[in-house]
Amino acid sequence: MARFRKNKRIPFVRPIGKKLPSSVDHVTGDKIPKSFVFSRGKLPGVLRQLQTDLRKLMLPYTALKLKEKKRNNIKDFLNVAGPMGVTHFLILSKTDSSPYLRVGRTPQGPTLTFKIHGYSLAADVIKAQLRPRCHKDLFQNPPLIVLSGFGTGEQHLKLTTIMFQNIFPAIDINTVKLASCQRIVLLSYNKDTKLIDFRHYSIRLQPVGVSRRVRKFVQNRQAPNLSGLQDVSEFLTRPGYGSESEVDDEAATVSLPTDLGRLNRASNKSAVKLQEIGPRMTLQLVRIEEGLCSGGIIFSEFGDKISSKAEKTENAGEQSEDDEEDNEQDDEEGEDQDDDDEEQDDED
Amino acid sequence: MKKKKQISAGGLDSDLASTIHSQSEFFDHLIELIPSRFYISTDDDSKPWYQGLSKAAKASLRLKTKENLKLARRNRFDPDAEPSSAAKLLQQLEDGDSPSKEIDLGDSEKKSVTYEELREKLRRKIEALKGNRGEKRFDEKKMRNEWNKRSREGEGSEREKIDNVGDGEDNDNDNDDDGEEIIEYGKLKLGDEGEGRNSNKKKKLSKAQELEKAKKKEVMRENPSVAEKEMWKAAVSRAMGVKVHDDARLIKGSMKREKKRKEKNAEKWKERVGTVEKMKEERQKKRRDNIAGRINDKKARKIAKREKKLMRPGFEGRKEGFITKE
Repeated sequence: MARFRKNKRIPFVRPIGKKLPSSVDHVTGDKIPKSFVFSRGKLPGVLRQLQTDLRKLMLPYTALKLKEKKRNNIKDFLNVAGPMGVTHFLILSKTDSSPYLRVGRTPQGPTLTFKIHGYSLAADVIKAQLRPRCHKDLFQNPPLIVLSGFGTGEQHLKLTTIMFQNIFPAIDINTVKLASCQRIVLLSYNKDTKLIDFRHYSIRLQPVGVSRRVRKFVQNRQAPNLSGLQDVSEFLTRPGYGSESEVDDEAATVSLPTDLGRLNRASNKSAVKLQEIGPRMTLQLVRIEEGLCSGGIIFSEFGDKISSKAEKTENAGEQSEDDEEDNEQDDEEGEDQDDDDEEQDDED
Repeated sequence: MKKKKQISAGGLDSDLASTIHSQSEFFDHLIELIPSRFYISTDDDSKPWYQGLSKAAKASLRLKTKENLKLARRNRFDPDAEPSSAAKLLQQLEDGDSPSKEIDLGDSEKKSVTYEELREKLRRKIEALKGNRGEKRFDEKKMRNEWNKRSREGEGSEREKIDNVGDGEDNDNDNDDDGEEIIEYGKLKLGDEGEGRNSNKKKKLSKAQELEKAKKKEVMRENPSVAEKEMWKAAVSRAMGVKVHDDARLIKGSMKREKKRKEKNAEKWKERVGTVEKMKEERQKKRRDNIAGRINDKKARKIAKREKKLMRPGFEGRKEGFITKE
């Protein structure tokens, strides 16, 4: 007998209650910045994992399951990005020396090229922890961002801060809910080595001044074992040793304006605890271009000895990086050999 | 008894003395609370009437007051100088300004000797400020900067450093170390931006005007330094989300597209109007035809009715004429 085939085509019905992230913020009326994270060229498996980690980081305003094909150009992505309201592209690519991350603003915005000196995947970070915590609503709200050490007033650092501040949506302090600030991205610039540390933490609030037993009891709502005790007061006032992290200095505690969950009550002190999730990266700002992976170079770390044809074609994203590595080697070898190497580059 | 009397008299005396002493202290304390300018009169006739002076004189007077303020501030914060009191002020006024200058020169030697004391004071102040951490970090930062500067330079040049600390608290300390301390956060939306928005509405320029602006920018870009500044400015505003219309080519392209769109719309409109006319014509024609048809029908019916009487069997109708033609 013929196999029964479902000839009925059921139209796709979105389940009720699942809200799509809209393009315009309901509260502030501004456009919410959205991003695409994708890669150019073939990446090894580890870097693909880094790409998914970055996508998770940028949730909820990014395409989690974006699929790219080898023949897609940046122009194709641009064409899709326009109607969908996508404002930023994060592009991962790899050359022989190291992977690169390009952050660009879509219509024709500046592109910052970072060289990734080292990275750790989210899975590795979590495996190294003793008690990893990931709560289910963790990726439903956009992260906060904190930039430290960028304030020296140099132009390229200022542009970097502005780029990163605008990748994540703005927070309206009048209407923001404390429960929605659950993640934080920290970027810290080291002036001496010119490296940017990229970290991603989840925020947890713990009430201060409450003994551990009472806190666990309220949190877990499990009846404790009182068999060895004479009285409930013994349970409550037993002097257990406080956890080592309780000896925080005053700077890490805040007093909350509203209640947050059962434990943290308004106007009581709570300690802010950060736990690392997500990828860890060490970046170095290498180039700033005027257009989206095109256009003139506004700032270059290693000198502008980039051949002009490298900027025009798409695949030459890697070629220009190759030139850059030659340039870096030039800088390391010394000033005298620069002329010879320059000629070699031109021949390339 | 005498002894007792003596003792009591002596006791009374001592009581009286102590009460008088405490009361006099209390009154002294009250008097110290009054700022000295209320009971020490400065000779106002030495100061000229400000409004009557010329511009240059006013400017020089202003400079002088600034310098006086600076000097007073330095003396106030000088850790080695004695805190000035009303009595001292009076004495100064009687003696004139010269003594204070001599004291200054003497003090500078003292500063080098009491370097250790300064260090101690600084350390204590840092500890005190650490206790209030979270409230105001600014002072601590400055203290740390001063401390770093002193420990770095060494004993030889500390005199200048101390002077620097006294004078230029604002200018030189903010450059070097603060880059590490400055923390910036993501964009915050404050509530008070709505009020300014009504006045800040910029009119959107028409495309032709944008083209003119872009062309002017092209011309300006010949100058390299201006070009670089323009590039940075454009990059920063683009990163913030503001649309910068730089490229004359793109503006021309968009103008062309707009023109084409307008033409297409005009075409469509004409077509629509044409169709409407045509339909109207058709309907009216149909109506006219129907009406004419009805009239004809009526006439035909009347004729038929008339002719019906003559449609007898064997009879062909109205007499048309003779069979044979004449």
